[in-house]
Amino acid sequence: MKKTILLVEDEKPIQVLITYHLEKLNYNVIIKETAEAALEYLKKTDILLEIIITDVLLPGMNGINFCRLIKTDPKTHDIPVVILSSVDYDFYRQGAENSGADYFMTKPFRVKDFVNIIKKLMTE
Amino acid sequence: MNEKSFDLIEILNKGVNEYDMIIITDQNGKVELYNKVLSQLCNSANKDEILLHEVTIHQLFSTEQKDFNSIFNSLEEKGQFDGQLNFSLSFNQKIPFDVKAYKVNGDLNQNFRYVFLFKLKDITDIEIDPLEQKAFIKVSDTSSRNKIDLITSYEELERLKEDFLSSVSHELRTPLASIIGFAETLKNDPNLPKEIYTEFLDIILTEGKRLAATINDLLDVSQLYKEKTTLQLRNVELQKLVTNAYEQFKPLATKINFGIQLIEKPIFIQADENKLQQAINNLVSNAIKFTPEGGQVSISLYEIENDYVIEVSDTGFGIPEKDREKIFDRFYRVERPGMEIRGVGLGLSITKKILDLHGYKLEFESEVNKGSTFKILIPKKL
Repeated sequence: MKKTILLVEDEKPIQVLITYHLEKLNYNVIIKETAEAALEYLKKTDILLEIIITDVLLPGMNGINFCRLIKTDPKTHDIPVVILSSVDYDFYRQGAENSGADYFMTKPFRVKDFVNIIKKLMTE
Repeated sequence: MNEKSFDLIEILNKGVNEYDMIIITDQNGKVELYNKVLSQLCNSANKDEILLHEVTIHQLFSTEQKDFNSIFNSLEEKGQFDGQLNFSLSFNQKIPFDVKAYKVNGDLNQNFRYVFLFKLKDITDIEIDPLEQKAFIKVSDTSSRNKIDLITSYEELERLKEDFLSSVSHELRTPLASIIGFAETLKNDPNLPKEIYTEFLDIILTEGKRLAATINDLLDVSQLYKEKTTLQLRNVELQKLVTNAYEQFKPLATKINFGIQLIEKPIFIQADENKLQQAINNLVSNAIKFTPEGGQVSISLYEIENDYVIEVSDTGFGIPEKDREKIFDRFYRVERPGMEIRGVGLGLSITKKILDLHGYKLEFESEVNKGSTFKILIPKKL
């Protein structure tokens, strides 16, 4: 059975880009456009998620606070979280680190680097 | 009009490093933000800090309102003021300060108009606590008048600026991420099926245009606000501008009803064709952006007694009352919970500035969840 990754991203083109590359790696991708919708999904689903990838600037709750909730919930705290940020300021990086995120990547990113991070997380 | 104004963060930087007391006021002199040295002075004068809530700066100093008016005039004309003021809340003594004041731009907070930096004169025995000097207190807006928001540090003001830069960064980096990501994908996967190849190319094109639009807005706004902009006036037919806007946005308005009504007789005016076209396009673009599927957007050109009117109306989300005063401010974006609307918040400020330069009026009416109507009023005789 295909493994599943949750992508929280409101930008359609980035959704298409990431989904294309994750599907090439043989993952199933669930997309949510807001952190709130993702939390709702996490509450209800029985699917075991391999990785959560989230944007920072989302409508509503931001990706860093979302990650903090994931990492403090016993049900989800073991799932690796990759934060994608279109803003590269220290306090975003610091916030991502404090929230327990496993990786912080800034946009634009090289697809090659993104794919390597996903592969690395899967072997860890 | 003199547009001389200073960057708030730069002035505050100077303030916390070189001065003792800092007060920020609105355009009428009402205190909006101060550092805790002012609280310290109030306490030493047995005055409750809460009085600072509704106080204007002239009430704190032994200076007549009319003298302060001349300080404000000087700030408006030259952007800065240099002088001396005596703090007068104290019972026993008037505390003399050297003062430097600046008019600041409203990018961070439209109520912040003037920053006063005070340096205590050596003749006093008052000691300034350096921690108080770097702590700020913001006086709340009218909607929460009963409490004072504490801004714990100067760094928090820095963060406000970063928040505003975040939206610009987001609007530049996000399309760039798509362009680079899909270009890399096309390069590495030359055998992509044709329909996927075309889809990815279309995204690169669309996101490239989005990036170009953001860059243009940023460049336009800096030019319109900072330089003496001159208009390239020539004879322009209004029907043509309105029709152009309609034709340009028609392909994008596939999920709404998009209409145009024109007055029959040709109307010629003296205007800067490119800039006026941009102003109209911005209004139409916003109307389409903020109107949900199935809604209606219409552009019309008609005349009333003294004006020609270009009207752009929509049945969109409308503008909440609290945002109405600010929608023409640079970088102001109306937040819509749960909905992402692209942009850095420059379209309406550019439009307003262009119309101001022409001497035209921009009026609007709006009702939440019913829609908005914007009208450009072009005087028949300027």
